[in-house]
Amino acid sequence: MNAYTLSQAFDLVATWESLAALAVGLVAGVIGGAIPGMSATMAVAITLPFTFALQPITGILLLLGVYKGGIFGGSIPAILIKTPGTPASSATTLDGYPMAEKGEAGRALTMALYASCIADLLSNLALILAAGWLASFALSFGPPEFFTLILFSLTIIAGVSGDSLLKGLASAVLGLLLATVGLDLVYGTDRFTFGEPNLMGGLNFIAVLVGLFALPEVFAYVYAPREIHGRVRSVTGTAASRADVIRCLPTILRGSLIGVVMGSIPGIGAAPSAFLSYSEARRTSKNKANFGKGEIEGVAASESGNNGVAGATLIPLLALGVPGDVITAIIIGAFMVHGLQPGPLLFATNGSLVYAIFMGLVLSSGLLLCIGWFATRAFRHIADLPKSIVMPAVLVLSIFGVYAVNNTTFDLGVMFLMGGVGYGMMLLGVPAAPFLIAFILGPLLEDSFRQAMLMSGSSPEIFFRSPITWVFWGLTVLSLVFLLTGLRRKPA
Amino acid sequence: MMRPTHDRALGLGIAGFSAALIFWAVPGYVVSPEGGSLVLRPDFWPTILGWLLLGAGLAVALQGAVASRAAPDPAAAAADPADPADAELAAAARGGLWRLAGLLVLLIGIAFLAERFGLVWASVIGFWALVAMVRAERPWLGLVVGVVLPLLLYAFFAKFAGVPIPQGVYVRLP
Repeated sequence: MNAYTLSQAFDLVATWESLAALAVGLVAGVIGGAIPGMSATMAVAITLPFTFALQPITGILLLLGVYKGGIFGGSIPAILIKTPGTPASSATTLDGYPMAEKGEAGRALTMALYASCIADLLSNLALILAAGWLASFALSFGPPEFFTLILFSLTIIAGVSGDSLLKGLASAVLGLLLATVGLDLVYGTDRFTFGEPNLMGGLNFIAVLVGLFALPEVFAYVYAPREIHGRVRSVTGTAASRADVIRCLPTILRGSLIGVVMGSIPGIGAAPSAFLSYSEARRTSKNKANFGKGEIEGVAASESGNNGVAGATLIPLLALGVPGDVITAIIIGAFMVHGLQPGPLLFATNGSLVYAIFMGLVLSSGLLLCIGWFATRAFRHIADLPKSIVMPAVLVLSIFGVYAVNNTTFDLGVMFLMGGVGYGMMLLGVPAAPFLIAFILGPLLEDSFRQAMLMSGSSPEIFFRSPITWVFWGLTVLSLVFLLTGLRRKPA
Repeated sequence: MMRPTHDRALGLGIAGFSAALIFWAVPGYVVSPEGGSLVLRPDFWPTILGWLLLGAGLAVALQGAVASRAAPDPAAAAADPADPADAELAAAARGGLWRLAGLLVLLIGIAFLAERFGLVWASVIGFWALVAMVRAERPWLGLVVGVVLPLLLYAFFAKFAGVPIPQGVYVRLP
């Protein structure tokens, strides 16, 4: 990093387009997260096609805004109608709703907002500190190291994404298999194209992800259409005071740290982080007995835990090119459509873009504070949006977005088919996250494998050539052992 | 909620799919040149994935079988067709399946008619059909949003992003 790169990065981010994209993304994310039945993932997936028309930095900031807004937005219905807008906000209902029942909704919401913004800022700082260092370390990685790294990431993502390791593994293998469709990169021969020219370039990534993460909710709603008519608590009472914030600050800092650590490990995500932060806060609090009955520290703990993940999940994405969760897997799409490949080389070839993203992320924490404040006041209107309108709107947004990528109705067919597959997976308890992440990482995994084989003259010893590969093999075995031990304790 | 019997069926389904992949799809639909290194051939990776999937499918089936033997499904045993609550649930499930079938027809229609009618009008019809299918509480709102949203999306993609949105042959937009 040098002064010139930083000034270029500043020029990229200090434009009205970038700032507007960030603000619009945050607003869209907060609304998406706050509507029960939608999720941050769905909001990011639907937004992705809109980034094609934008500059890379603008599009990426738009998506990051949606991501961050979505995670905070989920806390609003969690507090006001006891229905978490996103799974990450489930822990917030435990104390947020009892506070709203006691007429302290304003205090709970402002604490959720402060905790979210502080944790988000700290997570962004962790990203800035760690990503560059990790990327420079990863520059020494060759194909065998990348192969073992991706294998480890897929194992852990498959293991922790659902209730069953085996279903997660099957889902990941199906994703890898789908990634093989198209022309073989070495020989140029057909693989599963069935004579269809549209399949020669492989399946459109956007059609697959929108189908997997937006349409199953539409299918589920059509099967059982019902509105969520929770009693919306009004935003009464005073805001959280400075004394509240000071009292909760150690909890927020601990929750942020938990979020950063858990976010930087692929596959874990925001919901487990929020629950871990909550249980740690309850264990160490002086007001232990009040937890679950409307304790403001509980709200601070869960919100700092889930928002602490947001920046940290970008560490493996930007430094190694490995998405840590579904949302970062979708964000990788925004890079790919602009011809950018996240990973260690991105820092060398597009350093100004990376640092512009960092600057935008820090800025987003401040913007979230303003936008979140207004969103808490406007929630009554957001909650009033009927699902019978939201779900058809999701369908139409998906149709236009997916069509716009390649201008072909073939992609619409792929999206609808993947929607059916995603709905089936939802019903059968097969997690979709390993499927999508494996689909994205599949080509990289196979390329690394084949390059390593070419380098070694087809000798598998190359996968044990360096201490780094040994570390990743060790971590893979260790995670499998932990996951299998858990499996024996808790059958599917 | 997933039951062990579902897991058993799912596992067997995955195993069947992977067997078809290994013995039919890979030999038939992956073109591999003769000779050369085995591990670099285009069919090597799909074959390995097929075997992995077969193993995972059989393991899921086995796990489901063990779980169902250890704890028989109480819900299946308790279902009583004469019970009004169970009958109501069954009726709701039938209604849901009909709506899903309707959605399937709608999606196929949109995919096939988008070029002929135009993406905007196909989306308007799709939106209204979906609103009708779920019997929206505020259908007038659905009618309005169903027109405004596709038009706004058309304006964004066609005018701002320069994407050639299909106009169809009947009603063309500026």
